Order: sequence, then C-alpha cells, then structure tokens
Amino acid sequence: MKQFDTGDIEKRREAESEIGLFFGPSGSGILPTEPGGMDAPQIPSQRSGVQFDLRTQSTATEIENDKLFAEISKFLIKTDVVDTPRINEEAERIIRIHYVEQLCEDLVHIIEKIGQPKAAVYVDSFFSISRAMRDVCPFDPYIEIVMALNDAMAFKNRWAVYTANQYELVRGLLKKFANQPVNSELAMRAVMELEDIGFDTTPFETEPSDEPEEPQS
Amino acid sequence: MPSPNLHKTIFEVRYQPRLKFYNLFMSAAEQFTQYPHWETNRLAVVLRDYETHCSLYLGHDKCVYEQDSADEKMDERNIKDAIDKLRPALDVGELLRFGYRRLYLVPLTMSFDSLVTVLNVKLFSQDEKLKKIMPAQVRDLMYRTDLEDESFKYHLLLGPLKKAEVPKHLNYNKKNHLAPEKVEEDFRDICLGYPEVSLLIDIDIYKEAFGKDKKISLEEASGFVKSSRERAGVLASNLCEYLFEKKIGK
Repeated sequence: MKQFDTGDIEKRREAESEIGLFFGPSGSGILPTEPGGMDAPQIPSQRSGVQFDLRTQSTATEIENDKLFAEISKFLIKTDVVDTPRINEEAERIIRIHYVEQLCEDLVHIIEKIGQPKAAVYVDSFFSISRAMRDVCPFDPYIEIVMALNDAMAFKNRWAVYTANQYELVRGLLKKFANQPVNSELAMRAVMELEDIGFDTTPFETEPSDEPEEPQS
Repeated sequence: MPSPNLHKTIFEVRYQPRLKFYNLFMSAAEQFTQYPHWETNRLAVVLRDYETHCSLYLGHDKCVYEQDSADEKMDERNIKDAIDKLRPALDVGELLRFGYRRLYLVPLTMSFDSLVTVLNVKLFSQDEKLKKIMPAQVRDLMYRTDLEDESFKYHLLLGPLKKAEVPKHLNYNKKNHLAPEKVEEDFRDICLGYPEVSLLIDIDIYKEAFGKDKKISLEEASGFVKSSRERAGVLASNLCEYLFEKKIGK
C-alpha cells in the first residue's frame, strides 16, 4: 500500500518535455512544444542532391505527415496502453480457482435449466466470467481450455444443443484440470477431451488459401 | 496455504474522565507488578516490559494495553489482569467504549504485483462497466470496511505490503516495547525479519455506548475480549483461506 505521490506526475511531465511534448495548463492535452516550430518534416524533393523524385510535392508532404502522425501515435499508444504484468504461477492458480468455481456454478444452473430460456442467463454469465478470466490471466495455459469451450458454446448458439450430461462432464473436466499445474500440452489434451465429450472447439470456418495448390506428381 | 501471523494486539477501554483519577492512578499503577519499567508525566502513567514487548497505559479517560508479540497467552493474562484491577484500583465501573485490535501479517512467496492482482480480483468488483471507466492497471490497493454484527462493530483493513512498508503500517511501539539502550539496533533487526511481500490484516473489534447516559459495564469487557480474540482469529484465518485457496472442491 502506498500513499498518493504527486511527484510521479512531475517525473512524467519532465520525460514528456524531453521528447517535445507537454501537458497543457489543465493537463488535458498533448501539444507540440512550439506549435509550428517543431522541426518541419523534410520533403524529399526539397533535399539537395535528390535528383529524381517520382512523387508530387503534396504527396510527399502527405507521406511525411503520415510518418509524423505515426510517431506521435506511437507515443500516445505507449502512454495510454499499459502492459498486463505477468503474475506468478501461484497467483495464477489462485485466480484460476476463483473463476473456475464461478464457471462451475453457472454450469450447474445451465444443467438445471437445460432446454429452458432461463439457461441463457447463466450462459451469458459463463461467457462474461470466461472473458474476465482471460483478461486477468492471459498467460495461464488453462485459458486455452476455457476459451475453446467458449467457442464451442458461443458459435451459432450451440450452447442450446449440448445435453445436461455433456455439461456435467465438462464441469468435471474443468475442475480436474483446475486442480493441477497446466502447461500448453496438458491444455491441448483437455481440449481434446472436450472434443471427445462432443464439443466442437473449432467451429469457425477457415478461409481457403488463394495460393494455387502444388501440382501432384 | 499461507497463514496469518499475529504481530500486534491492542486492548483499549475508554471511560468518563473524573478528577478522582489523579488521586488514584499512581497507587493503581503500583499494583501492576509484572511491568518492570515505567514513565509518568504526572497526568498519566505508562508501564513497560521490554522483555515481553508489552505495555499498559493508564490515563484519565482510557486504559490501553498493547503488545508487539504473538504470545496469545500473555495477551489473555495481561488483559484479564487489567480488567480485574480497573474497578478496585481506579474505581472504574462503567465504560464508554472498549476495543480489541489485532494486526496480522500473512507472509507470501508471490510477487507484490501478483498479490495486488489476486486481491483486486477477490475483493473488488470486476464489473465490465466499472473496468471501462477506470484506468487499465491496478498497481496498489487497500480494502477498508466498517462492519457490524449482532454483538460488535468492526474496522477491517486488508492491504498488500512490501517489506519497506511494513514498519509504517504495523507501527511497532519502539518507545514502550524496546529497551532504550539498543532500541535502534533491535528495531532494525525486527524490520529485517519482515517478509518481502505480505498481506496486512488489521481487525479492530469494538463496542461503544450510544447516547448521553448509555454506559457499558466493566464486567462485559471480559466476555468481550474472549469472544473478540476468537472472532479475530477466525476472521483472519477464513480470509486467508478465501484469498489464497488453490484447490477447488467436489
């Protein structure tokens, strides 16, 4: 736990002024330090020694402006998007159990309400818990199992087709794999088990390749 | 499964201030013979034991027992002794408030970031609407609630701590619980012994008298301490079990 530290804002301000950006008085926007004063993008056709330039000047300016925009965008993206820190395996396991308990609870309700419209409520909850789990622990291989199950249930509302017995088997499978260390190989095995239960874990159609097939000898 | 380690216990009773106190408190202090050291400013007295890291404060409006130790038997013995002597020694029979507080540290092997993620997932709302409003990453947090059941009220605080942050939150009573000759040396050793990453569980259970004429009898305090001790222990253990569970049941 730590207290609020306004010093951090100052550090960020310094870092930003170094690369020519600063917060406005209200801190609400990012502007060039000297509007119009920033090094003007050099247009190739204006450079000395460039004899052949197969672009019109306006196109070249446009391209350079795009480059500048890309640079600024890169900076903005870097400031706004924060990487999800990789958490310890121990913590991953704790969080996995936390979510799997909820998923299993939803499965119990789905089994109870199978064939009824009310089941959709629990299916929806199941999907949102799966998404939350993926967001918090994106690196846990167990997520592959959950997302494969998601695909199988979500595609064309196939969740309504599966039977109570199938869901019961899935519940057992989720618990079994949640209670052990899972690597990619084990996750793949679990997905195969899902297939064996009858869940189509790759329901999405794939685009046929445009490349011509190799001639058969 | 990580378990909570008791680090600090505080018991406090508050009573109506009376002038009579100043005629009684020195002789009252003499009756607590288990504390070899003492200090007074003539308005209050503090009795100390540097060996067992505990102290008793007698003031005109409150009496506070504090220990920086995990010795539960000592806490039981010394608090009972304080309650038993309050009436005969200070003529205190009715109380305005009493409180029993325990601070636990749960040492953990996971990183601080991981602990923050676990606590965030387990203790705070994961509503997608809220997530859209808030900045993406939670870097640090604190869970603080005031609770109440049929008998008592609670202040509960949970928070992840790095080693360097522990002294600030555990608030070791250096002055009263460490020998003055080597206080800094001893305190440094204590700080070095704190875990790299831990969870602080701070449970304050209390009861207060409401209204001008409402009072709590001193006799209630004994029962209160016994049940508070149990409640705090159970609450800390159950919270640990909930927060760090690694197996799913059948």
